[in-house]
Parts: sequence; structure tokens; C-alpha cells
Amino acid sequence: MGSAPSPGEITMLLDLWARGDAHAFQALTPYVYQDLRGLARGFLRRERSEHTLQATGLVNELYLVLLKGTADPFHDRAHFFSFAARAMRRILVDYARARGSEKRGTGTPHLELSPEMAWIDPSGLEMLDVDRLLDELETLSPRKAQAVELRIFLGCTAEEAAELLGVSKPTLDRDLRFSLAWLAERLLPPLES
Amino acid sequence: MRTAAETLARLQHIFEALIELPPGPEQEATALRLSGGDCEIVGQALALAAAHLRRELLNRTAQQQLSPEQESGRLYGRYRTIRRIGSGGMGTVFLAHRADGEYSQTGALKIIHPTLAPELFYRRFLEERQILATLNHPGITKILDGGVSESGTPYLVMEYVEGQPLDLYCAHHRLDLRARLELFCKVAEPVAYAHRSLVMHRDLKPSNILVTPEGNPVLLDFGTARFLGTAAPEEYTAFPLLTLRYSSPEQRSRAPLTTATDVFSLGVILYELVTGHWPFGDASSAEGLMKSFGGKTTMTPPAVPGDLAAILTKALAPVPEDRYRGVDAFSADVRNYLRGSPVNAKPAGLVYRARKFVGRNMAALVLGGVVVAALLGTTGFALYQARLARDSYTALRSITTSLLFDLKNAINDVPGSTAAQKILIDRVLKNLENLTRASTDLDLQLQLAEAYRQLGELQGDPYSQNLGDGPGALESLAKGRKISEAALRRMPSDAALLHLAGMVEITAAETYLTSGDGLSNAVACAKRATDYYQRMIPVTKNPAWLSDAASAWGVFGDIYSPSGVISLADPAKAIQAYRRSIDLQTAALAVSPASVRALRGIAVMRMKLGDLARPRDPQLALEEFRAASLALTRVPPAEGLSPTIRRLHFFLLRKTANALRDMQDWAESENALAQVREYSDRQLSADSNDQRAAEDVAVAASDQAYLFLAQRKYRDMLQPAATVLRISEQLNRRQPNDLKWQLNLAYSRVQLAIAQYHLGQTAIATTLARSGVNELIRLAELSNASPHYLEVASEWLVLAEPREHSDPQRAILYARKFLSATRSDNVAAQSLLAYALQAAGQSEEAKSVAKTALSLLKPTNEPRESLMHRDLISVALGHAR
Repeated sequence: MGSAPSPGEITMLLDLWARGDAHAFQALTPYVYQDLRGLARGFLRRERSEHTLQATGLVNELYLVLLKGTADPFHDRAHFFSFAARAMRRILVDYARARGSEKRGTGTPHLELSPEMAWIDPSGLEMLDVDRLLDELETLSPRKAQAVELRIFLGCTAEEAAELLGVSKPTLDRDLRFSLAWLAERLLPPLES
Repeated sequence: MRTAAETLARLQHIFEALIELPPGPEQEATALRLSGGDCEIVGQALALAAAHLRRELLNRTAQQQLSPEQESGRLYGRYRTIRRIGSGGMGTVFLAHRADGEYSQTGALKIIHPTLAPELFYRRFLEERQILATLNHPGITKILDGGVSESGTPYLVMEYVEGQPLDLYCAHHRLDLRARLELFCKVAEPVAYAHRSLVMHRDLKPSNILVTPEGNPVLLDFGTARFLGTAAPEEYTAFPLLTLRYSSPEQRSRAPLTTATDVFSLGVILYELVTGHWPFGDASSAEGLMKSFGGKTTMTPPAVPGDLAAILTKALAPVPEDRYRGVDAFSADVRNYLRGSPVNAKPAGLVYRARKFVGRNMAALVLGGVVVAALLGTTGFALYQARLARDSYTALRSITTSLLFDLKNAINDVPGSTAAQKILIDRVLKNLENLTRASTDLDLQLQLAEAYRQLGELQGDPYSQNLGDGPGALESLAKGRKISEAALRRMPSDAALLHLAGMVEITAAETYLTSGDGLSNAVACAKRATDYYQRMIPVTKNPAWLSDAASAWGVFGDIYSPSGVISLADPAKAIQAYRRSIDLQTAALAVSPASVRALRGIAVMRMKLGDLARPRDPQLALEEFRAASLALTRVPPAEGLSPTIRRLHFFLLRKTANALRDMQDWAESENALAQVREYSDRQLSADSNDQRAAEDVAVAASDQAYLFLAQRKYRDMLQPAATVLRISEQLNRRQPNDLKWQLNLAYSRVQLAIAQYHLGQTAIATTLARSGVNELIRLAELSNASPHYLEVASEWLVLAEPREHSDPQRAILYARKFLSATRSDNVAAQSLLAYALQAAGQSEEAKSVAKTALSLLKPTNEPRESLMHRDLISVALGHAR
């Protein structure tokens, strides 16, 4: 891994990515991912203490990216965080796809998911399966899919996720446990016919 | 009609209950109870609970990898961890230094953590230790230390390898195609070595293959490796940590794995090394990945030369049976390509293999269909049964596939590693027993009996020295017998069952025969086999089964053949059995006119009939040998060119030549033997290490020498006699303890001595004759000498020249011993005694024995009488031979 890009470079890369340049995105993701996670969780914490959303520098740029991704302004904080979680998932999927089509072995950085999903290599092609399966789960139970996004991709605590989804913590735990089993069962589907 | 959301809620409810229970019957019963008979939900809930368990296992490990107290600086036995260098499927790996100050050693230390199912993890960990301890190859990381730390964590210290992953190495060093192929062949070596030690890697990928700065590849991470065939069903689904990119279709479908899985992974690796792309399209799309699994693989034709493309196609075949038989064969073909030799990756023989596979697995394939049908049934109970059947079926497939595809090859090829083989057999036995208890399904029972039979065959196989476990084989066969007999009581005239029961008995008979005792048991088993087949023959037209029945009668014939078990020799019974065998093969041919097996069977039976007839009636023997050759000429051209068939053809030609010699048809006999010599000499010159070819040359040359001796053409005798002596010396050096080559060496000296003596080389002849005769005596006097040794010794002690080195007295003794070990109507033994008596000057007794022998010969009206006839008449008349 080379040295980290400067905030200015990141802005440029973000712009390029927004215009559909996959290479820019690839260069960006390892840094953006960790920061975005920290950012989103920081929002939550700060929001709890200060009831304000502060965005400066990199944070600002990322916030813009998030904003660009949606037509409507966020109508409430739960909406914002569920969107942020979805954006995390999108980023990981794009990253996995970009990394997969790239010629192997050029030392692309490795990402780590939350411990609950550590059995999946998020930079690998399994991520594409995860994405597809989450879409499927969403049609059955949007809340269960969201639980995965918030807890696994955004890195919220169980309490935070429960609060955002408007359920009790035990319910959130049960949902997550079920969703993860549901994913695990399908990630190596048995041979049909 | 429930909505999807309601269904999901119900599913979650059952799931919550199930994960409180351990997997097993209790869990399944709970699922059935809570579902209220909704079979679809039961299946889903059970599958989810199983997935939950494996995810938990993986999580625990992953979390503990991150826990700070495991991070570094801790002491494990004599090693202290320095820093974390990675995490694998079941543990964390640290760089570690030896901390006891004895000497400086750096190692890679791997730990696992007790988790939800500690015994499972612990067993796997121990297994990895065991696997690594059995492997000793420069291309596989060595185990330095291992044990349990003070805090109870099992650990393993492996050699630390400095190197680059295979793909990076190739890229950084800008290796060209040739260099990449050469490097790949080096990678294949340790994999092939592991397979020979009955271990498959199962997770081969460039990042698991480090190349040292010297350019030598080293395999890492046997964490997912397995002893072949030891995967119990619950385990190989528990660790889905495969790298999809390099995994085989059977890994993705969770089918039983064989060494062919490693062949596939190496195929992907090679494909990427030579083309820079993934073979199955776009590796970045989920569709691309999914398409490559489940046998629908469409490999992108690589833009490489045709032969290399053919190699890759074969290695990447979706069906394991279509791939290279082993990693050795794979890399050998890459080397062929590098050398510019023709590659073997052509579809020749594919039809044969496919046919074999389908035949072998037909019942399993049908059973698979039954399971799918049952899964669509409507009651929970049906589903429950089906799940049981499916589990059993999976386990069963793992047994039969491993057994047939890997075990046999591995065991036949590998001397040593007996312990691994024992583990393997024990595991298979355990699986079989579980299955036998679990199931009442008839098809499954059939499969089980067949699995037991194959296991027995393997255990009792006399050709695999490590496994010559006769008692174990008989035990397995007894279990197979019990199952098939029980099934036959339910369906007494089911052709498949009768065939199977017959196969079990004939395998048992062969085991008794080769183990050397239990002769009466062998006869009883062979008798039972033929009884089953008698019942089967009217109700089947299956040519393979008819051929199996024919083989059973062939075994029966061998038992009664005088050249088989001497004490049971009964030529009339043997002839009857061989004829029955020929009739059955003929019936098989009527159904399948080009059946190589049937044609070959007929040829071999005719040959045995000829052997039986030859001493009494060489004319009849000649006819049988010619009929045998004729059957072989009907083998379809493609198969007829196969080495086995060609070898059999020349084998028959040699027998024909000897019958011609018996008939004193010298010219024809010489001509036939010359052809045999030409063929076997060519075989030997193609590969001077080919021991079988060397034996073939020696046998043919010996027959030539004997033929010239009978005609007193001593000068012609010289070359073949010298050849026999030379090869016997070679093989005797190679296998000093093999009595057969000591015997051949001894008589070939005497043979050459005779020729040399008549050509005036008295000194050489004397030396050769003296040592040859002494050796013959030594061998004949051995307590474990077979009657054949007595026969050979007696004959050459009479013929030896210079005369003073012959020993007619001893020849008489040996001939008498030989006679008493065989039947009194054995004309060859009688004539041997007659010649010895005559040579010793006891002409009255010689005359009397010769007359007895003559009375046993078929009276001949032929203008050209047989050699034995002529000689015996000379002795009977008191003339010199």
C-alpha cells in the first residue's frame, strides 16, 4: 500500500468516482471505508452528546457523496443512518467487484468486516454473493436485512441499531442471529437437481 | 396461504428453538413437532440451525484472533510469539522465536481456540499435526513443535518460510511461459507427494504457495487438508472457508472430495499463470462464479497452443472422473508439453471411463433421484426420512467415491504409510456401520453391501503389500453377505441382488485362496457364488453381470486346475468350469458383440483349457490356443491396440509355439517364438527398467533355447540361453530375495552350459554347469520349495552337461517328490521320473514308468507324434532319448 492520499486527492478521487471511474474508487475505498465507518459512528456519538452534525474536511466530502447518492434529503436521522449503512454496503460491493476484475496480486489492501462476519472476505468475491442474498432477504424482511447493514457494514452497536430500527435489543439480536444464519446457509448453496 | 413474512416469522420461531439443541435426532424431532407437519419449514429450519452452528464456530475463532492477550509475546512451549502474521480458517498464525536459548530458530506458530464444539476443533487440529507429521517433503512446511500451552491452548509450530506468493513471484520475476510451466511442475511435486501419503490439500491457491528466493515452491496451510476419505458429513459442511476462485465444482456443491479436487485447483492456478485470467469468465461477477459450479462449467478457451489448452481442459473438467487421474499425471503432461512430446490430454479412453463411472454409480444416481422426489413429498415424516436418506446418501457417496477413485490408486501406488491406510479403513468401516444401522432402504442396502465388498476386496488385495489384511477383508465381506442375504430373502429373484451376492462370495473365495489357507472355505464360497449366478442367469441379459458370472466359473476352474491348488487338482472339473465360463461370456457377447471383457475372458479360458490339455494332447492344446487368439482378433481395433490386449496376444502366441514344439513342428514353433521375441525385445528396449518386459523376454528366450535344445541345434541355442542368463542375473540383483529369479538363474546356467559344452567350450560349460546344478539342488531342498522347483530341478539335473555334473539320483528323488505332490495321473510328472530313472541307469523301472505315462497320453493317429510321446517310447523301449 502506498502512502495515504491527501484530502485534496481524496476529493478528486471522489469526483472521479462519482463520474463512474472505477479505478478512482478502487484507490479510494481502503481509506474511505474505515473513515466512513468512523465518521458515521462518530455522528451517532456526537449527535448523542451535542445534537449537531459537524462535517469538516474529508468528512464533508463524504457527506456530499452520501448526499449525491439520493434524490431526497434525509427526512430523519434513522433514514440518514440506514442510507449510510446501505452506502457502506454499496462501497464494499463495488470494491470487491473492482478488485475481482483487476489483475491479481498487485497488493490491494485488505479490509476487515465486523467480527460477526469475519468469515467472509469482504474484499473477495463472496461479497457479491452477500449483496445478492441481502437483496433477497430484504424482500422477505426489510428489517432483518437492515440489521445486517447497520451492525455489520456500518459497525453500529446492538443498542444503536435497535434504537435506529425502533425495536428492543433482544429483538435486534435475534434478527441478526437469524439473518447471519440465513446468509451462512446460502453462501455455499447445495447442488440443485 | 401465508405471506412470505409470516413464513419467515414461523421459520425464525422454530430456528430459535433449534439452536438451543445440539444437532441430531432431538433437534430433528423438535423441528417436526414445531412445524406442525410443514415439511418445507422443517428442512429450512434444520439447515439454518446447522449454518448457525458453523457460523458461530467461525466467529469465535475470528473474535479470539482479535483479542489482545493472544496478540503476541506469549509463551507456547519453547516458542515465544513475536507478532501476528495472519489468520486462517481455524486459527491465528504468529511469527515465533525459540525461547529456550538452545539454538536460534524462527517458526510460524499456529493456535486454535476451544470454541462451541471444542472436540471438533481439537480433533481437526490434531489431525493437522498428524498430517504434517506424516509428510516429509522439502516443498511442504515442516512441523517443528507442537503441544498444549499452560493455558490449555493447543498450538503447532511450523517452519517459517520466506517467500512470495506464486502469482506475485511470477509477475515480479517476469517469468516467461516456459519458466512458469517449469515452476508449476515444481508446485505439483509436493501436492503429488501429499496425495501419495493419502492427504489432499483442498485449499490450493497462489497465496498458499510461497516461492522462496531460490525459486522453490513451498506449500502452506494444511488447515483444511484431510486424510482421503475421512470427511464425515457434518464436518465438511462446517468450514466453508474455501476460496471460491480456486474451488472445484464438487467443493461448491459439498459433494465428496477426492484428489481430483486438488487437480482442479491446480488447473485454475495454471490457467491463471499462463493466461492471466480466471478460466470461467468474469471472476468479478457472481453469475460468473455461480456458472462455474454444478457442472455447467464453460471454460473460456485459453489463447495458448492446442496441447496446452487440452491439458487445461482436462485438468478443469467439471466431473472429477474426467480429470487427470492424479497430480503426477497432470504435471507429467505439462512436462510432455515442455519437451514437445505428445500429451495425454486427449479424449482417448474417455468413453470407457465414463461407462465405468456410470456403471459404478448407477444405483447411487437413481437413489439421488428418489431422494429428490421424496423431498417434494407433503408430509413432515417423508421429509424426515428423506433427510436421513440424503445424509446417508451423501456419506455413502463419500465412501464409494473415495474408495474407488482414490483409495485404490493411492494404496496400489504407495508403499508405506500403513498407519494412514489403517485410519482410512477404520473410518470407512465406521461410516458403513452407521449407515447400516440407519437405513432399511433396499437400494441403500444394495449400495452398502457393494461398499463392504469393495472394502473387502481392497483389504484382501494380495497385490498391495500393506493391506494384505485377510481376516479384516473376510469380516467386511461377511457384513456384505449378511446384508445381501437379508435383502434376498425379501426379493429372492432380483437380478441385481443375486449378482451382488455372487460378487461378495467370489471376492471371499479369492481372499481365501490368496491367503493360502481356508481352502475348503474358498471352495464353499465359489460354490455359493455359482449358485447365485445360476439363479441370476435366467433373469438377466446384462452383459457385465454375465461376464461376472463367467469370471466366477473361471475361479472355480482355477481351484480345480492342476496348476492351481495341487491337492484339489481335478482336471475334469476344471475343464467343465472353464467351458461354462466360455458359454457365459458367449451369452454376454450375444448382447454386447464388441465386449472386450467377454472376448478377453473367452481367450483366457481357452488358453487355460489349452494348458490343461497340453501334456496329454498337444494337438488339442494347439486348437484351444488358436481359438483363444481368434477371440482376441475380434476385439475392436481401438481396444485391440491396448497394451494389455497386445501382451495377451503374444502370450498366446508363445503358448502356441510351445504346443507346436510338443508336436515337433519345429519350423512353425521357431517362427512363432521369433515373433514373440521381437515384440518383447521391443518392449524392453522402450523402457529398460520395465521389469515385466524383461520377464517376458526371458521367458520367450528360454522357450527358444529349449526348442533348439530339443533339435540339438546348439549354436542357435547360444543366443537365447545367454539372454535368459543375463536377464536372470539382472533381476536377481534387483530382487535378491525373490526365489523365482534364483531358480531361473540356476537353470539358465545349466541351459547355457549345455550349449557351450557342445560347441567345445568345456571350461566355461563346466563352471556354469557346476554352479547351476548346485543352486538347483539348494533351491529344491528348501523347506518351502513349491513343487514347481522340484520339477525344474529334476529336469535340468538330468539334462545337465558335461555329464559328470548331472545328478540323476537326485533327479529321481525330486521327480518322486514332485509326483507325490501332484496327482498320479500327471503325465508330465510321470515322464520326468521315467527320464531320471533312465539317466540313472535304472532302465527296468524307467521302462515301467514310461509305459504308465504312455497309457495316460491320448492315443495318437497323427503322422507326427508328440515330443513327449516320442521320448517316452524311446525310454519304454530302452533306447536313449
